[in-house]
Amino acid sequence: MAERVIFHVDANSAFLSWTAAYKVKVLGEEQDIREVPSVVAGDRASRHSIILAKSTPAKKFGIQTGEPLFQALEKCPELVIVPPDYELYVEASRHFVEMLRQFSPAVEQYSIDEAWVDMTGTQRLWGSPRLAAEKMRTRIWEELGFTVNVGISSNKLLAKMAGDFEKPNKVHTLFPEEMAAKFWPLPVRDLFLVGSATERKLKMLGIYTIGDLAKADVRVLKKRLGKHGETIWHFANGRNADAVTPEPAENKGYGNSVTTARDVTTFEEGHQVLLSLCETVASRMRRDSKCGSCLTIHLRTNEFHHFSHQSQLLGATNITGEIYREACRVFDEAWDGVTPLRQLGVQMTKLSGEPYQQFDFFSGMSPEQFEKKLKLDETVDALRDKFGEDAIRRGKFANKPGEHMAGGLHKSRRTGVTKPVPKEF
Amino acid sequence: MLRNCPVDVISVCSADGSIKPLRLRMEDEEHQLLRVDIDEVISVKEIQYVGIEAHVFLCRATVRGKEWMFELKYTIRTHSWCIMRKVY
Repeated sequence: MAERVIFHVDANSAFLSWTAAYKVKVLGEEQDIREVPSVVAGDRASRHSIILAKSTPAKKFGIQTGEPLFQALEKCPELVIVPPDYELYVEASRHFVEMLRQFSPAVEQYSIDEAWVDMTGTQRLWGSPRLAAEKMRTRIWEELGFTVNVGISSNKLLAKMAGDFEKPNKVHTLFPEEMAAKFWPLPVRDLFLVGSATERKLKMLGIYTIGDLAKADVRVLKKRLGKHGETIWHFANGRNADAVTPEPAENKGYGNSVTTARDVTTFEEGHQVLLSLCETVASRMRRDSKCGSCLTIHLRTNEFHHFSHQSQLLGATNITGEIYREACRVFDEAWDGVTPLRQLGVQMTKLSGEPYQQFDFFSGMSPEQFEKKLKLDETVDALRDKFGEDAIRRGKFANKPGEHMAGGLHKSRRTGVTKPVPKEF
Repeated sequence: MLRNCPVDVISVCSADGSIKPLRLRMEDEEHQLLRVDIDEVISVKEIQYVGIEAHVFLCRATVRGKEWMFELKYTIRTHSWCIMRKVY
């Protein structure tokens, strides 16, 4: 079989350059926001407004994607702020993927602005991989009006790493024979799936670069980092056999989070927010007929420290009340009750889609009770589908401020680009 | 400088699906309505910047005794016409 050729195509600061291209090419504006310090961010007045994308000049001020808008404005007061336009992004993304499909039928969309393309066996059609990538890059620039980075390699992982090398508007290759020169000298943090926690652990082992990790003893890594250690060791050695799959994979978990309007300072407020999150998470799970048996609570303090706490349930469930009860228990364990919290999240993993239910001796719930609760939740879901989310709400939210179904995307953002949109929205 | 100016247009949609603008109406600097008969459509191109599909017609017309050359854009999604830019 011929050597695989995989492209990773990534739109450079997608939201910003799509807005910029729209302003320049469609509205005919003179100023290109890509050339001045600018950001795409939500409403200036809103507390949870964060930077969604930044221009290259804004990057020079040290502005980072994901940081709050007010912080960015402190770094650069003249910052140009443009509001996000999800409809435009969906349209741009759709045409972007369509354009990629003209090069090869095997296109896997990874997010709204990046995709893998399997270009194996297209050499007679498009020329060498480099030439094909240049054609792709030029066509996207000329026809769609924005720049992309193309990473070329023989597997998805290396292609993605190559795509991240130097931006914007570049084509990079990273074939296995180039790893020693281009890949191994990079800091280990740059590796896919290595975050700050893993980085810290690796540094304690004296591993600073991807090369160090590649040469490390896999047994030591496995002992310290578990299975993840082995995965990233294979990654560091450029090994990844995943195929480019045009169909999106199934959800591995269901989770929602919300940045509250004001900081949470009491257990009671915290529980109320958790309940609103459990409502949305559980109803999404019920819609997909899935049950989860592992619950994680994510908390972010007013100083942006993030911590999470996990609990293994006795059996898989998707009953709002059950998840909520467990969420409160975990929350009470994890939180000191003093530190103000600005963001809370609930996530259910270890899913099962079995049509039967495993009961246990310890939770004290009989099959009849379970059936009853499920029926109640399903009725509530049906009511909300038919008459809107506010048609029915729990007593806990009566005469109280705050949403009763929190988290998830606002309706305008449920786009269906990477995940299908449930039909009732 | 005439740039990105929305206009009313009378056009022909032919049986083969092609569109040809015939006459346009716009507001000039003095807020007077100005009617322009398009003498010739020199070229047509399809664009789809950021995924927004549009047709751009390069047109020639005589306006108040002077010859104009300009790009007229038809955006498919919004069914709206505008003068993108005046060449001369």
